[in-house]
Amino acid sequence: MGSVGQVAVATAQQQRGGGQVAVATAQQQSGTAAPPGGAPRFDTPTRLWLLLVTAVAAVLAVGCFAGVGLADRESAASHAGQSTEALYAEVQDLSYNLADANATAATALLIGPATPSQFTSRYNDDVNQAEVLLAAASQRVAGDGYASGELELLAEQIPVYTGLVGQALADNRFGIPVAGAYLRQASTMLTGPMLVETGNVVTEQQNATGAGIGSASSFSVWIFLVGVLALVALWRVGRLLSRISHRRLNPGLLTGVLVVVALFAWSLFAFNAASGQADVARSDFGTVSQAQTETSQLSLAETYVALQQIDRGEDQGADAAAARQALSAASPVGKTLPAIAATQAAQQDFASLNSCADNAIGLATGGNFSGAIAATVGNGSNGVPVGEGGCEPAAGALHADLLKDYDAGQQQFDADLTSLGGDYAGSAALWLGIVLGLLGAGGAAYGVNRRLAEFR
Amino acid sequence: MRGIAMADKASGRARRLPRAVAAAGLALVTASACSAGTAMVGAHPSAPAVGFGSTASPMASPAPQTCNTSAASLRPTAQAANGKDVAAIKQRGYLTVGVAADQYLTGYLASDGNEEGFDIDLADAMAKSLFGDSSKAHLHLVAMSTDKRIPDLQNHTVDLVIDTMTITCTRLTMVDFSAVYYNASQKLLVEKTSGDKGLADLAGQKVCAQTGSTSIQLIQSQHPAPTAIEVTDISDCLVLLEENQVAAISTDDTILAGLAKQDPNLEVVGNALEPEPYGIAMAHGYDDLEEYVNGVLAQYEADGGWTAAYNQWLAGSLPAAGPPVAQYSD
Repeated sequence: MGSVGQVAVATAQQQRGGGQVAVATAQQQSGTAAPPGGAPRFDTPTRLWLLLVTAVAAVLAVGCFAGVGLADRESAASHAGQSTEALYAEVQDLSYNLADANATAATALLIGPATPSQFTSRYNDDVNQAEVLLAAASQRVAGDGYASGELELLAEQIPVYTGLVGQALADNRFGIPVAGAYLRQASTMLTGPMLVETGNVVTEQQNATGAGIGSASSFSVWIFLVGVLALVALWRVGRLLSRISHRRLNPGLLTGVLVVVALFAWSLFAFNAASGQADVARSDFGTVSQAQTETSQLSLAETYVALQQIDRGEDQGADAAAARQALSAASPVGKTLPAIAATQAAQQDFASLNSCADNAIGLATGGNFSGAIAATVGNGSNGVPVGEGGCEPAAGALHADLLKDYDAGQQQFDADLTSLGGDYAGSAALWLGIVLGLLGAGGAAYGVNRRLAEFR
Repeated sequence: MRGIAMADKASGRARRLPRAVAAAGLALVTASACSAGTAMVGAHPSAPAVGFGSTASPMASPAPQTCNTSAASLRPTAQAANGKDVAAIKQRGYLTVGVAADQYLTGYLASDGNEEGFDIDLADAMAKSLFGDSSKAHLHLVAMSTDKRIPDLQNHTVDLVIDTMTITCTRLTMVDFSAVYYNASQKLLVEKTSGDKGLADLAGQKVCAQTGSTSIQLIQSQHPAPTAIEVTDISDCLVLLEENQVAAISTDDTILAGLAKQDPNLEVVGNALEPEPYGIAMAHGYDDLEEYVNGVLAQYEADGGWTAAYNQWLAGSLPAAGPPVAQYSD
């Protein structure tokens, strides 16, 4: 083997008398005769080089686009779980801690001048936890001007709020009614601007999480387009190569084609699997959101039930209406989430609390505030201390149920996002795509180079 | 030239921009002012709250009284004790009285679960007269908000209302009243160190009062007038005063006494701004009950019960006083 001239002669001899195409090929290969229709633009080796470059570029492009596209979606899934949803959960927890602190303080005022230690501890824990979460969330929102602004406002308001509650509890020790007024103002501040601010950040991050899940599972048109173009290009290269070499199959080029098809199929499979996983993740994210909303609403309901009794009817029914609205919003929706074991218990505990709270609201509406207070926090009968009777056990049980719901939903959601990322081969997606692309490109290059070598 | 024209255009836009911004700002300020005007203490909106009190809208001056509110009740008679309405209550075994649960010193539900105050002592006296004691078995106290007092009398949810309820000609068309049991008057609660002695000293300052009360009209009728800040619950005024957001509180002296009792740095000042004769309210048509109540009231005032209650609850914050002289419609 060796010279181009020998190959050309052999080809010409084989084709002699056989047909125009063979003659033309021989002429082109020898580079001495012009084809019909004009002089060739490139000689054969150059054309083979161009075919090699085209094949390598096509396979590499598919590898890169598939790797980058899949890695990008894996990254979106990871970001949705580790950043966006984490911030969402932090601010939701912050909102819950504030609402629970308020409910604790309001209920403590019903018990009497001396606040029981478990109420003091719960209030302090809530406020401390809220401050920790606020600090963490504030660091996480760096770069998000809107969320930063909302959390800055909240950071300014929390000390004012705790000051009002502190004044209420101090006045309550003297048994003077202005304690209720301070608590009412603290509650107005909490349910007004403070929860609205946390709600704004929660909504923003909820939308961002939803968008992140969407991005993580969206089909890449670019991979599709590049894949199709690459296959067309490889088909053309194959045809031209076949024309030049008179061999129907080039194993190297075939390897490149197979790699492109594999990358294409992997992408399609991953997108399909991720799409299904994203639906599951959305559903579980709904569970997390719902459980957190219900927990906060439960605390708000406790607050309004207590405030109705503190206000002694001067709220003109507003507290009772707000309590019922919050109770309704706190109703567990576990029927749609049968996978969560705590849900059934939550339904029962909710029914128990709802009945108890309804009784207390009714008593207060009828002017029987002593009865309402006893129904809410107990009256010390049967050896149960005031503050541990009434609706308190049912409220505590429902709190625990909802927290279980939330934890279960959060774990499922985290698993969903990990699985979603896994559909794209996790963090290896980029390198896997590129390595496969390089392998395919290498195969194609080898195949074409074999033909090119024949002209050296 | 083109550059200049564009510069002119730009400067024209720049000139218009501040106007647009100013207009938008004005709209925002107007909108926030409007929303602030509707926000009141005691309500619990889910929308952001900008404050705990709002400036009161101008109110029409109160219509002059066209009746004698101090002498609108029936004179007590000996037969009243056996009248059908009184007999019905005795037969039932308990008296139902509507009272306040949030007015410190007059009608307040203490943390021990018992109602206490000047009005509660009067309700006790009524029950004792009817049943010999004022135990919970014989005296049912129903806490009620201001707006429920007349409807609850008219639908017979309660027999009587003893709740710092001012006798007015309008109310006399809806319910009956006993003789006056306390002559309250609107006064001011201020910081002891403020030196303020009346509304005239508070021109341009903020004075807090309960929404819809005659105090708002009184504040707004001054020349120059203080700014009236309204809240739904009067104890919110105390918070605003303690936070230095208002300079004074205007309402009945009995209520002010209750607020002053909670903060030793405050005092009730001023001349009687507006007379507020308190009466025990009952439904129309219960003449024998009205006569009986007036009889018990006269006895309560005569045997020192009234003075003892006044000294226990109100004398610390209000000047010494005696029971009003009873006047009747005849």
